[in-house]
Amino acid sequence: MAQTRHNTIDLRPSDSHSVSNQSRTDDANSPISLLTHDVQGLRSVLAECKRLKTQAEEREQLDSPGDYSWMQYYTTKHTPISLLSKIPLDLRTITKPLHTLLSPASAGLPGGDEADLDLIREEWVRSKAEGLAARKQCNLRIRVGTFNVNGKMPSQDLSPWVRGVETNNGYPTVLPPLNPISPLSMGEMPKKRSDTEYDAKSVGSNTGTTESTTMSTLETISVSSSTLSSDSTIGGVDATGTPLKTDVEDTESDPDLLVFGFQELDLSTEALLYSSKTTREEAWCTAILAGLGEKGVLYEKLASKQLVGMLLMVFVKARLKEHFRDIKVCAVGAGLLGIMGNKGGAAIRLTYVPPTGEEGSVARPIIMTFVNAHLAAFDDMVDRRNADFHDLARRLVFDVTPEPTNATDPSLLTTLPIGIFESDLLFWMVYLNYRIDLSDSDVRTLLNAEPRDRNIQALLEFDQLRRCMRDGKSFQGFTEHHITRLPTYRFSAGLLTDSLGYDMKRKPAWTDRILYIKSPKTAVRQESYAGHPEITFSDHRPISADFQITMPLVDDARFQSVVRTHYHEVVNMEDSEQPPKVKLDSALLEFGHVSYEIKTPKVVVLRNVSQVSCAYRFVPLEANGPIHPLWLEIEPTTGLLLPGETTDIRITVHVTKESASELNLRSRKLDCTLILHTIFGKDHFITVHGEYQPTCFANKLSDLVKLPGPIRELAEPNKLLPEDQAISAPREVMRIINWLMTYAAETHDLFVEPGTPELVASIRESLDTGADFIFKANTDGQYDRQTKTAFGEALLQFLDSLVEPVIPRHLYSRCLQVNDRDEAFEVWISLTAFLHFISQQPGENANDGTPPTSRAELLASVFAPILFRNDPALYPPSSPVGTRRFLLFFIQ
Amino acid sequence: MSKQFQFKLVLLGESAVGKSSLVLRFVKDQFDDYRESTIGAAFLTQTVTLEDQTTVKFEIWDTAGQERYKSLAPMYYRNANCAVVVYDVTQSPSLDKAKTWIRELQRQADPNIVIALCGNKTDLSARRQVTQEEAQKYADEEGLMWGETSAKTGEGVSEIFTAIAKKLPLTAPPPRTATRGAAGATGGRGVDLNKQSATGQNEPCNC
Repeated sequence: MAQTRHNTIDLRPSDSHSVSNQSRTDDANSPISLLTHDVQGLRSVLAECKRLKTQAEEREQLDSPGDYSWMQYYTTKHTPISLLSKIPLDLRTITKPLHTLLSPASAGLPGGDEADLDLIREEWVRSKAEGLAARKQCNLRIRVGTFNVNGKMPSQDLSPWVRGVETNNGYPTVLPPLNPISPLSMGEMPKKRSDTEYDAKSVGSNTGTTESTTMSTLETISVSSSTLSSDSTIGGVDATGTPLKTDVEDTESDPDLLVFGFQELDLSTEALLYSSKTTREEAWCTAILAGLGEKGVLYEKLASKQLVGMLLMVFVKARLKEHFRDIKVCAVGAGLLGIMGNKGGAAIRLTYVPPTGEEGSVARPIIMTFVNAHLAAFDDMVDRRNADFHDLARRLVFDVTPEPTNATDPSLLTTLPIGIFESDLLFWMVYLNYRIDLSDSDVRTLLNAEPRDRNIQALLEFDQLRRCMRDGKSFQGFTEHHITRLPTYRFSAGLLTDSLGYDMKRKPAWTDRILYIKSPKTAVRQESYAGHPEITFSDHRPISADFQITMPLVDDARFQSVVRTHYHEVVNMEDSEQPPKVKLDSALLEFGHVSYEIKTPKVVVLRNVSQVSCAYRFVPLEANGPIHPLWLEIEPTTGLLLPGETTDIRITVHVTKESASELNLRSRKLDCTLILHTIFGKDHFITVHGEYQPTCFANKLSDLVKLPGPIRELAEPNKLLPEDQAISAPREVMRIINWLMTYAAETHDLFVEPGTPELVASIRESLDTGADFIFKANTDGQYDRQTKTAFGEALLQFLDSLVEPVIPRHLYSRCLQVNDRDEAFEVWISLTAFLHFISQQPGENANDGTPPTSRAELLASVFAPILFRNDPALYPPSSPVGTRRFLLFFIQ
Repeated sequence: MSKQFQFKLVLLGESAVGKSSLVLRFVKDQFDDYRESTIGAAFLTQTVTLEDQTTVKFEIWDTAGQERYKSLAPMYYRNANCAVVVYDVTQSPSLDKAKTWIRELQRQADPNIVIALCGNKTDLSARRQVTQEEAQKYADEEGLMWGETSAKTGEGVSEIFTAIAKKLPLTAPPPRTATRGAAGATGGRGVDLNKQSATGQNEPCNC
């Protein structure tokens, strides 16, 4: 039962339960033991048991013993609660492919067909009903922001952060002004007029808001931050010259929801102990509405939750407010003793019932949950932060009263504890405290050097959160948008800072992040993910993200009825004695020649030829093994067919870098048998045959130098030359480098501009077969730019695909002594000589002012991560600053 | 109460010897003159009641006989309590193939597996190539059960399965082959429904 994702536990007698059932008849008083990993299901069962117990007791008092009418609900086949429930399934399970949740079956060992059928059937009914009941799409724009304010009160215009006006990727155009407030104060000192003016100007020039508006809003904040309530601020803004309510244009592009998370709102000791004061919340609320400028009148505060220093606030467009119902909040501490609120999380759960625009039609609600969290500090506390995340994920629980369904008696409903993951969409805005695993000087060097965007990507390779997500240690299944902004931590006023304004005592880091996880039916487009360096009064910079959410608008009544009819249709069919039977139109798939990186799809048509509905799943050969080899993909891997229905199963052979290294010099046969198991029926075999065309990509250098000719001409995979006849460097590398030396050395954006995949594939094919390159030179003997960049890309891809990087990993620490690997050495010499050569070329547009040094540095930043590939298993990784410097010795 | 046992049985043998027909006769008492070749493995169950009212339920895996699926057979005979290796009495080579299967089972399957050699298609007596004596001699040497059947007429079919049921060690129920329910009821702390605990503060289970 470990794999069930039901809202209810199946208590129908089955083989695994029969033992305990029997023992119960022996001794009615002995407890029944059942074990489950399905916490949500267990909760429902317990709530239901308690409800029934109360009901049974009441009936006993009414003196009607022997009345078992309450059991009727359980003895007739009914639609599972999970299908009709308005509580979404746990995002952590629903985002996993269904076949991974099914029982651990394999060929000849069917696992739990009954439980698997339940899961496949529910999935089928749900998607069918959602499809049939979907009216149209509903869109929602959400702007999410997070800000660690370091105990300060708002003393600057927040509009860049709350309104999302243009910034240049988080790079300040001018150095951020030093904050005049002492770091020891709580930041409540009003700002001097002159500073305010300076800020307003610098912000105004960036944001495009008129200076006068900005000025007046600032005034509002500084004068009234502690006294005015949010309502009066709206009035105040009106009074100071912004257009009247009716005149403000409510455009599509304005976010419908604004969600802001604050951390370290109040650093005072009292706040740690008593967190009841709302003064600061009011001040921030005022500042946010002021920051919205003339648009402020469109919004109203929908909900807020504060836990000591953490504050989470949700604003909504006033016209949409009535559509947000059943708002729940909760908070848990994770600081000292696991309960203190200096660390922890606050969460808000919203039930959005989108307007359908149709009389009498009510949409199925969409559940959105927002979490504002603050995790453990310090560089080396990664494990603690991961533990904090899992702890918060478990303990942040809302008390939700489920809406009554027709089948249940509303008076008997109890509240259910609902976790944050039981949503359609879950956002975490966090002061994560995850740091960068590189030395302080490396981080600062990379941040200050060009090319900045490449350097930021290089640094992100060492970001602790990215690593934890990759290793599945925290935030599994979450998405974080690509980061292009500078780190948001830590700035200080009056202390020693580097030229970017970062505190010299703290390693800069991306500590402030916004992540989300969504259900498969929800489409999320993230439109921005930016830092706001203009807002300088805290030691962190605020960040924001804009999301465009698209979900099917499902009519609830229709959904419920479609679910019921479809479910019963399928279940009634299954009650028939007939066995399920499917037919495949082909049991043998012949793929012929298959090339590296090229997807070859084939379709198998599956037809249900029986009188009953039939569920199927692919099973692995061995328990817990993969259901298909690495070079093959199957879509879909599970499903259900009604009698007479057919479905296409797409089987695609795709040899990638990962699978090619096995195939190139060992086996060229692509052979396997896939097993399609029909629930309560046969296992069907689908045999796959293919002939792999080996490539020089994804090999070892030591094997390539022992090839007697092009790899395609090799008669047998193991017919390599003996060691003493090996050539000094792979001829494939030499061919690309020679070509580049001859025709492309002056191409300025070589290796920087990505090449066209088709051209790269054609170059690779020529290298594999030994044929001439197919490109034609122009009349002047030159090649076009596209061809040149394709050759550059081919070289990069070739080096990147090598099974072992050019520089052996064990030599990273002493790579100056590289001479025990001749073939690597040869490649190295010719490669670096070539890079040196092109970095000395004047370039085709020499008057663009790019000095040769910066070109060398650019090349080093491109090649260093490929030549010194980081092994994710090795820790700590080698520094990108070091490897680039090493490479520069050769290039410059 | 009568005793109930459950055993996994696998059918092996060359293509077209009549494995699927044999199972169809045993399970449904039916016969198709034109049956398609099995591409895959079918799972069926049938119960046999012995004289002492003991019931034996067979979980039968009917496997594909074609050579190209040979590598998959071990997946189906692993954990099998008994195997029926079928040959066609009108085709001598099919007995050789059966012998190969038997050698493989003796080498790789569960050492306690009960193996029955079964000569099918006795209705085609005119075309018989394998004599009863030859097959029985081989079976005796290898210590196997042996019988002849005709899936078409039904002759000998239930007899061979009943004989296997009698030969199986009917002392203790065999271990369940399916992995389902493996978590079992171990170490569960249990929940007292009489206790009014504050739900939501703690997870109400220890998993």
